[in-house]
Amino acid sequence: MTKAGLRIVLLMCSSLFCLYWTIGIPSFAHQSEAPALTLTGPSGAVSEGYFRLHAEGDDTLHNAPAETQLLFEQSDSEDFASVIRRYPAMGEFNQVALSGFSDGRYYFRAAVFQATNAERVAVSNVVTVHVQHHSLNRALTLFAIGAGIFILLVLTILRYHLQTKREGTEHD
Amino acid sequence: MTDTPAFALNSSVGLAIVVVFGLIWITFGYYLGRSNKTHEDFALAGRNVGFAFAAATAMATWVTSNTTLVAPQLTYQFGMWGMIGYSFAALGLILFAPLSARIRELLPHGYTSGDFIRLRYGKWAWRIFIVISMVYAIGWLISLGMAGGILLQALSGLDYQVGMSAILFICVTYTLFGGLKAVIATDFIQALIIIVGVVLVAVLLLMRQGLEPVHETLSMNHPELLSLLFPAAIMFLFNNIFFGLGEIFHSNVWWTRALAFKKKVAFKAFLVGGLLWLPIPIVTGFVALAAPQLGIFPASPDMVGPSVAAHVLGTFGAVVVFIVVFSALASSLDSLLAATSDLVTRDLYHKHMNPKADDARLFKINRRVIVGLGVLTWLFCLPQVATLGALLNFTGAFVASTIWPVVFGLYNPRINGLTAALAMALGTTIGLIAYFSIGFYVAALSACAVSGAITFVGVKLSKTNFEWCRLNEKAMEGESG
Repeated sequence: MTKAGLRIVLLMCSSLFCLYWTIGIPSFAHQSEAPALTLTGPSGAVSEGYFRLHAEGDDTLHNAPAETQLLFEQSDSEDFASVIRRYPAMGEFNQVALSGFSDGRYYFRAAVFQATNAERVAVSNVVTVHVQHHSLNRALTLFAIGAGIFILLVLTILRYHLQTKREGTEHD
Repeated sequence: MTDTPAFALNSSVGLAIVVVFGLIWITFGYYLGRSNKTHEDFALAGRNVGFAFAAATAMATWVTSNTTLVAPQLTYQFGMWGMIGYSFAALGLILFAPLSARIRELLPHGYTSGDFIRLRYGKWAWRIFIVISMVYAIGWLISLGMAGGILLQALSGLDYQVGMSAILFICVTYTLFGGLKAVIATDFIQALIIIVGVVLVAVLLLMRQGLEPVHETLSMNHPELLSLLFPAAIMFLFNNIFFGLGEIFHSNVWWTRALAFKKKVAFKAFLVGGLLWLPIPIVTGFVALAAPQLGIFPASPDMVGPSVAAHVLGTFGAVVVFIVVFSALASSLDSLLAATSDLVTRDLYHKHMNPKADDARLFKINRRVIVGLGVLTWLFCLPQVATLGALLNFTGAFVASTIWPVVFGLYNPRINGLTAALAMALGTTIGLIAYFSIGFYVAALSACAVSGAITFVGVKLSKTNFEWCRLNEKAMEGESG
């Protein structure tokens, strides 16, 4: 084979390899390198006990949702020594809204699993959510103010209604 | 590993239901609209609505995205208080009952809530009131349009923009054909569908799921949802009540109903409508509490209601939920379109731009406004910018400031225009500051408190003695003519 011929063969082989790599055979591509997955959560302390977690990633999240499953995992330690709870994302969404948490620090990460064999193919960074509810004193003060205004309003409407009703009857 | 909850309905099935029901509503609207001869027929159904239709439209209009999507959302966020607090919004309808009788008595020829504020308080208060009304109406219209898109997306995975556009198109079209008569008649049918559907969902959910597993999961993993000392939820309770009261007391949706009902009917209709409405958020809210136990964690809290119901009840349940929520949305969207177009036609066009416009001209303008509002809502809904709850509660700062000026304006001759204008403007401002600096759960409460304080001080200092006969515009015109 001449040098020129060899170059052509090498060029064709490398082009095919690039094409193959670009289009890809999913299993090969996914097995060789774990895709990047980023998890974001609330920036400051959460005062209502509910918050959203949002996962952003590559092909595993966006191109083959039927083959993969996105789960949000919770741990009681930042190093994720153990997963204490899992929250599956609904349908093809890549975020989850969680609620009902008491005061404390909670650790979350997102993970993508193969739907067929439950093998984990991607794991995100760990997000710390700090839940610090409003003060109960402040809440009860607002509750008392609200109750006071409401009672005043009901009494005002009742008084005026009965008064106009009485006046109407007198006119009749 | 937990299975990922998939969509309960095929997207083409979801779209097919929308098309079938859409065709039914539009045909019905067209059929009813044939008898509309005057603008009064179109805008106020001839002021002759009887008790059954009146109670049904009061209840059905109040069952909306609020109760079918936002009540589960707030239960998912605030737990027990979210559910119970939401049902207290029925107090708005119940306390409006005496007000509606008074409205009917004072404004025998009135068209809108704007009419009352203009005649009672003068132009400045009226201008502030119109801004508040329009912010609220547009906010509610957007939330309803968004709810349509979210509903279809949550149940069938159909693209948000497609679902939202389809529901808006259907409601605009049948309101355009039939006016308030079509709105009230469809509300009656929609109310029956809503009651039957909600009861069915609740019974099936209790039979299949039970209370104990739900309680166990919540107390282990989401304890605050069961806590009666959940701070944000405690703050939310009275805020939600004042928000509901403000919505009903000021909105032309309810004033047009009070003016369209027969004279002796208004009081009873609002009272019965409120009592019928009371248990509905409890049922829709309970659905949301079952979500964690079922392993359903929605992408956005406003998706939780339909997602859980559909997951538990399967395809049949999903169809039921879909029809119920679609009916609820349609019954509110059409009412709001009709009432807001009346407000724009009567208050802005007739009273300020073209006072000489005749009945035929007003009829035509009213219809054009309906189309315009539909297009405007659609444009605002395209980007899904906020959750339904957040969007609705933003308007709470506005509407709650109108509660005291409306109540005093209807009964106390000593309150004047300056007091009402200040109460509404400062109430709204403080409510908005509270919304942004503390949270949405204090916006309406702050607005109502400030507005109430200004109203009481204003009445104490006032030397005004308003003559009620000035509210009867036709009689006054007759005297001056």
